[in-house]
Amino acid sequence: MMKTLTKFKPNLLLIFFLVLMVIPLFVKDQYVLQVIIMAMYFAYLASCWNIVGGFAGLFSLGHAAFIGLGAYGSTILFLQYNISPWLGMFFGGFLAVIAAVIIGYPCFKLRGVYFAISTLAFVSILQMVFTATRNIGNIELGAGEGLVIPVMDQSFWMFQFFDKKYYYWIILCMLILITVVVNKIRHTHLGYFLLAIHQEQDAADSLGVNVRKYKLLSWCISAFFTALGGTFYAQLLLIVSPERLLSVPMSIELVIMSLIGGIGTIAGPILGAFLLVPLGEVLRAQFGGQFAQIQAIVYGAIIIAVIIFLPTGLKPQLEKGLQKFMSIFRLGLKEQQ
Amino acid sequence: MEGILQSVCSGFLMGGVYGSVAAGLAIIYGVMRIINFAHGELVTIGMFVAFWCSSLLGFDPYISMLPAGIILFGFGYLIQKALINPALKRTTEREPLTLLLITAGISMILINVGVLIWSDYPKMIRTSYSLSSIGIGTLRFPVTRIIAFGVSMVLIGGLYLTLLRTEVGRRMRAASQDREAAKLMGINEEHVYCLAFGVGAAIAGMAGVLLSTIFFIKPSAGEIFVMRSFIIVVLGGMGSIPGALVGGIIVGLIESVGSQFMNPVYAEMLVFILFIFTLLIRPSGLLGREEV
Repeated sequence: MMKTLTKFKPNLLLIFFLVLMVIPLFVKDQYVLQVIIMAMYFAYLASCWNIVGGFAGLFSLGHAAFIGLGAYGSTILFLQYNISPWLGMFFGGFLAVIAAVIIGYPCFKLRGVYFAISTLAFVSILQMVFTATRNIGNIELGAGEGLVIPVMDQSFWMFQFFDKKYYYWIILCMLILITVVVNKIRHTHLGYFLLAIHQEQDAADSLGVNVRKYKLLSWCISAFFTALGGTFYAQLLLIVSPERLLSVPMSIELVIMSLIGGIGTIAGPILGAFLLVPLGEVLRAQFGGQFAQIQAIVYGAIIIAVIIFLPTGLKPQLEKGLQKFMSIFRLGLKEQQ
Repeated sequence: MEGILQSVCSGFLMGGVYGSVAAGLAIIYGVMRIINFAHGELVTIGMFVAFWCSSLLGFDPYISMLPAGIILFGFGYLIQKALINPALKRTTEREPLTLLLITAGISMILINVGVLIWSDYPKMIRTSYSLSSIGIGTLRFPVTRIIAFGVSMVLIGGLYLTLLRTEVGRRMRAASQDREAAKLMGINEEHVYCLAFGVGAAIAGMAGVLLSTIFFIKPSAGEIFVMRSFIIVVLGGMGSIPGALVGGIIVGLIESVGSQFMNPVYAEMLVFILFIFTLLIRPSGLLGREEV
């Protein structure tokens, strides 16, 4: 028994998810739940980004486009045809995959910075289209003000709840799902191909890896799941507006979270989101209102500091610290024997 | 017909100024392969320098080009030396993409510090010639725009000649063509990077002074120039100074002539669509070297 204990390597992510499952049983404070919901939401999106940004080396600054399409897709179906957002979610995902093919297929020719700014340009175009268009035929798009989802009765089928804990459970399931998906990708041939493409595209190509196919596949998977997140966000806030959802800062935020946690690791984006979202809340509570800008200033300073001092993100550092701790712990156990 | 001619002319004038903002971005990208997301804020700082010089010291706003250029050169030099060089040294990647988020962080800090201290309330510079214009036939050209265009041409020309004819310029070009070889030839690349960022920032700041008599002055004023400058730089060819001028004029023309026929938002979109087509058909830009 002692032996298994000394060899025990804790799966921190699993423990983390177990803790998240238990929290709503004890915490009833809606504000606290809301903060954790937002942290999980961003952890989910950053994990989606990580599939392309971390594994495939497709440094996308355009993921807000997929969030926006997911949110608009489900909301339009709901408002026009009264179709449940649960089904609309997949319609949004479908739209995002189409957009991903349209954006991705030509842009994969481009590398590095060129790819990054062309994805950025696509977000800007979508934002302009949605800001300028009031309706297409008889489908309302709401132009700059966006679409408002009317408040209805609490209903699972209509994706509306008065108590935050239901949103909490939904986004927790989504986060676990995406983590499983990312884990699966990482440890199957797709993941190995993506890493090969990331590190040395020409070498991967000459060894017979179909570079374009795997790039596109990972890009579409990422876009689809990102769009599901967009629907969740729309149902949580009951409003879809181009100004926030389809914005460049939104795109950049996902990248920043992955970066702070550790790009290309499974736990990194989750770690990044769970650090930055609560930090943002604390800053807002401290300096809200008149000094609202302080939050953004601190954010900016953190980004710069992390890139300069911890270019691989926090996760590897944490792991090192944990290993040290575990080795001391094990030593203690042995001495007791 | 006259309306179109007028908008062609004003698009051309405005495009020249866009060109000078983008030339600053182009030199930073050309030498370091880093996209400067804070470029718009550097333009804003230039605008504020002009505003203070004219409101506190009573200078003509155009005289403040000198202090704006010096201040921003120092600022850009420091950003590169204190923030980007240390990060560049640690990275092993050939195209350091995460580094462009440093400039995004700088941009966030600058805008928000500005709003915190001066609020986002728009300010204006009033001069005796603010509203005067020169007429040729039935066409009218505001004096401020003519000055802005003329000085922009001087800036772009000066930058181009500096790159082509001087020792510093040769070093910058060497570092941009082949980092390793330049290093082996005894070029202190870190110093060259600092100079390049400084010069790019100074150009942005001086363009900011030129724009201060045309646009409202507020901390977020530079935002609109960032994406536009990216587009111009890609259109003209990343890192090419004449390309920045050509790209700037194309964008200025599309915006101004397009707005005659359609919703200005769609004219703006046209610029983006042109941008994406350029990336697809000729990623090296109109006047860029083939390298992608």
